[in-house]
Amino acid sequence: MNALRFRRRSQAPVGVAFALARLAQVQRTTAVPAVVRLVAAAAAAMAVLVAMPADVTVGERGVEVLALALVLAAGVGLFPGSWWVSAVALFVVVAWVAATVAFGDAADLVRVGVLAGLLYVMHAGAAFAAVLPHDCVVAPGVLVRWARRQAAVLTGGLGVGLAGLTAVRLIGGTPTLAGPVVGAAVAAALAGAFAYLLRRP
Amino acid sequence: MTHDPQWTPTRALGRAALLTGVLVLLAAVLGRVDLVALAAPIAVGAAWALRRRPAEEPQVELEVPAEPPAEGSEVALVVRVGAGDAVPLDLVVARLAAPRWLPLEQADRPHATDLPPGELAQVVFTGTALRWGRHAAGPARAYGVVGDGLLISALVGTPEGQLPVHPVPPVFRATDTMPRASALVGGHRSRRPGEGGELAGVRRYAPGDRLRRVDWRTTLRTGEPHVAATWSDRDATVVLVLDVAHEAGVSGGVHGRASVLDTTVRAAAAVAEHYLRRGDRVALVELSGTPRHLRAGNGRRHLQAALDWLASTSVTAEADEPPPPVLIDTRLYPISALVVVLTPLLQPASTQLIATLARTGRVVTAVDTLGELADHPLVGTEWTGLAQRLWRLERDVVIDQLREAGVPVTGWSGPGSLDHVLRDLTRLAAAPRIGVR
Repeated sequence: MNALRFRRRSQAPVGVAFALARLAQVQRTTAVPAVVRLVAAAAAAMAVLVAMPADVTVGERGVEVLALALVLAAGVGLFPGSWWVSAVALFVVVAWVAATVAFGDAADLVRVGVLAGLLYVMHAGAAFAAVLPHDCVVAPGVLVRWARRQAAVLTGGLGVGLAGLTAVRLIGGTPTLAGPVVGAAVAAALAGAFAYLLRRP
Repeated sequence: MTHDPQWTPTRALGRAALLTGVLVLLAAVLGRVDLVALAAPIAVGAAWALRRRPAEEPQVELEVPAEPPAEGSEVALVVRVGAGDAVPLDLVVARLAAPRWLPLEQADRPHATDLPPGELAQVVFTGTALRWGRHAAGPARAYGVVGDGLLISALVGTPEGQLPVHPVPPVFRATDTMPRASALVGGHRSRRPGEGGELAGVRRYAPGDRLRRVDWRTTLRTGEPHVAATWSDRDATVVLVLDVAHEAGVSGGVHGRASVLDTTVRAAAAVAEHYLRRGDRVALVELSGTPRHLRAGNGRRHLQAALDWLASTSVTAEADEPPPPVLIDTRLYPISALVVVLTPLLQPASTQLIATLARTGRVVTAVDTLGELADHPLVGTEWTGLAQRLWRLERDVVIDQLREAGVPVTGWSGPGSLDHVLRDLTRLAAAPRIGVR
């Protein structure tokens, strides 16, 4: 979307011309945008593999799961500014819920931490790749500074999430009606916070 | 609180909100705290990224060289990008539109950098100016990104800049006498006796002669006072007429083939530079769909003005457009001027102008700028060759008619191109003539 801001509006090529135009685009790709897209794609593939039920991933259908993960990841790498990334993220969430609910996988701390990290890396990588044209000449140090910022945010976010998860598990208790109500309130508060952050001058 | 439309949320921000909402909602519904943990990095990251938001868009400037470069020389265009306010930009992506004849290194790619507050980032695009002309440089455009890709600014740009590139005049010299000179100063030996450096002979002293002119050797030998007579030194006015109503050939730039327009402009630059360096006055007249002229002047400043003027030369007449009217304006074409018409002889109007100028007593010479293009074989039907031969014969007839009218026609061949025609013209100018003004 945004990365294509400089693209001229012209008659779209079709057929072989389209393929050749795409090939020419790929050949113009520079290192930094390629690395960012690769990071986002790799994180997507690994997130799919981690989220899928372990029995399926390491079982007979492991190759199919791997192929699916690669296809989904390729979409993330190639179209980081599209809805595809959101779809893959939602797929990961659904797969995780299915794995833990239907297949009985344990939601242990390490796996949750790894999955949360991979989801974030995919999201942040795709967000950065979407605003970075694929043939862009990037100044030295930009990638390193971006990676440093993401590492800091990831550390903080994971710390908060896993600490909360650990605390809740330590406290324990039986599920009550207050849980869903508080959760819905937190979701609404988050939406309001986003809206406030977005609209404030 | 008002929404600032200059910074818009990206799809990534929508994704962050969607994922956070879905995960928290699922966590609430299913009673799964691990889902909140999954959402935590994304939510924390978005909140952290949006904590500060710039109020202004990034600023972009384009700097073109102050001094017009010559074709074939290195040119540097500078694009400067700055953050609009005190909020650092995670990314600024800038792009410069490069003109065709100015292939700048890496200008076909966007350039990205991050930008701390209060700092300017600059990208220097260098390249070689391949052809003279007034090239459109830019516009430079940029957009900024904050919140690690969650907010993006509107595209900001500079207006299109103008980069005049001067033609490189080929080496030209004309050593022969100017056929006709005008004022009483200058570097040419005139055909009139007067104060000057060129010895015309020794004659008897006459009242009014200066004492320092006395030739003592002849005076002592003859016993009568004699003085050294000199020719007066005069400058000349050269009017260069550029027939650019039609273009022929394809320009290959400074290192490639020359089109008619290239030959015309470069030859005009060479002749103008030569005569201006000798102290003469040079005027320029363009024959095209939109005629224009540069008044006669001399000196180094006028040379720069002439080169600037030449850089704006373009073919403006369409092939089926009626030719411009032939008007002999005495202010444009002084009677005493040497008129050099640079023409491919492709339209009757320019031939008519040359003949009319010659008939009115002006010293006119035509420089054929079509050159080898006239002999370039055309690809077409079986009749193309024949048609080209007929056209060439007609052109030869036109050239012969001009010669009969007293207008020498010569091809442009660099140094000494005009020497032999100037010699003939000097001889003709010395002879009595009948002119119509």
